[in-house]
Amino acid sequence: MRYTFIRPFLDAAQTVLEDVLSEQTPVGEPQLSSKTLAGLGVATIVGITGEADGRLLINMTRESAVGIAQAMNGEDCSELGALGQDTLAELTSMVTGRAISTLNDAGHRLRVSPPTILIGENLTISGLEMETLVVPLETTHGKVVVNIAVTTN
Amino acid sequence: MKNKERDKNVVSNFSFMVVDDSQFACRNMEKMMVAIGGTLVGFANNGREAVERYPKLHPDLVLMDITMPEMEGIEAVEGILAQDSSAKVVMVSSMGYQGMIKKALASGAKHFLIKPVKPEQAASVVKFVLKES
Repeated sequence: MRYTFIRPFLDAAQTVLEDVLSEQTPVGEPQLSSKTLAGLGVATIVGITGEADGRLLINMTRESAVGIAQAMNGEDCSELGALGQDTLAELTSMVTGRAISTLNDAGHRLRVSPPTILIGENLTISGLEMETLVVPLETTHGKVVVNIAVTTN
Repeated sequence: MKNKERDKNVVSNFSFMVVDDSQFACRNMEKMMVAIGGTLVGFANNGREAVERYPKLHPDLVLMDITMPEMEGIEAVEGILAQDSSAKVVMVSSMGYQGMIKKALASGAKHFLIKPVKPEQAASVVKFVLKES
């Protein structure tokens, strides 16, 4: 795992969340994990390719996802329908875009895939057995857990 | 004198088109532009649609995402400018690294806004771009 590549994703997640929610989002206790991930209710996943391989997974409860989508739109997103899901996808794209920009400006060459959204209770996400840094961010809508794993080729 | 000072902070009425494959991004940008005096003439969900719709809608300003299906934003800027060399396009993207910004400006875009866009940044860029002519 390369912290050079990981740090910009964490910084981007915190900065973008703070920007779109207009609030501080303190960082909780980070952990390392390489186990199958238990989804909290809503997860967005982005693949990272190029100079390094990896993925960013943003994991949150349905309540947190709805609260964030509503705050970003200023309207009801309680069903997490097309607009709510699109909002979470765009939030994830803003995080990855900012991180990739930081890394590319530093001379690295990375690309990201469009985000995929998973919604469901008791969701387990397997096939992700890479050493992953798991960092919770506290928002007024609940916890947003950022999972980032990057390995160099 | 007071009126002149106030006028400096007002964007005169302008028409705009938003090009983005994200419904959230389109609506968010629409709200921001309307709040500073803009009138929406239409959306496009990718670059190809933008190139097709531009001559019919002929907006004063185009707000263009970069990463989109079918045709990306930079190619769409070139397509729009090939039809109207005076078109004013502002790129709006989360991919704000130097290489991308240079590429966008080289394609003919007038300015670059990095997502998430703050309303005051958007107002400042729109004022600058519309007064440039």
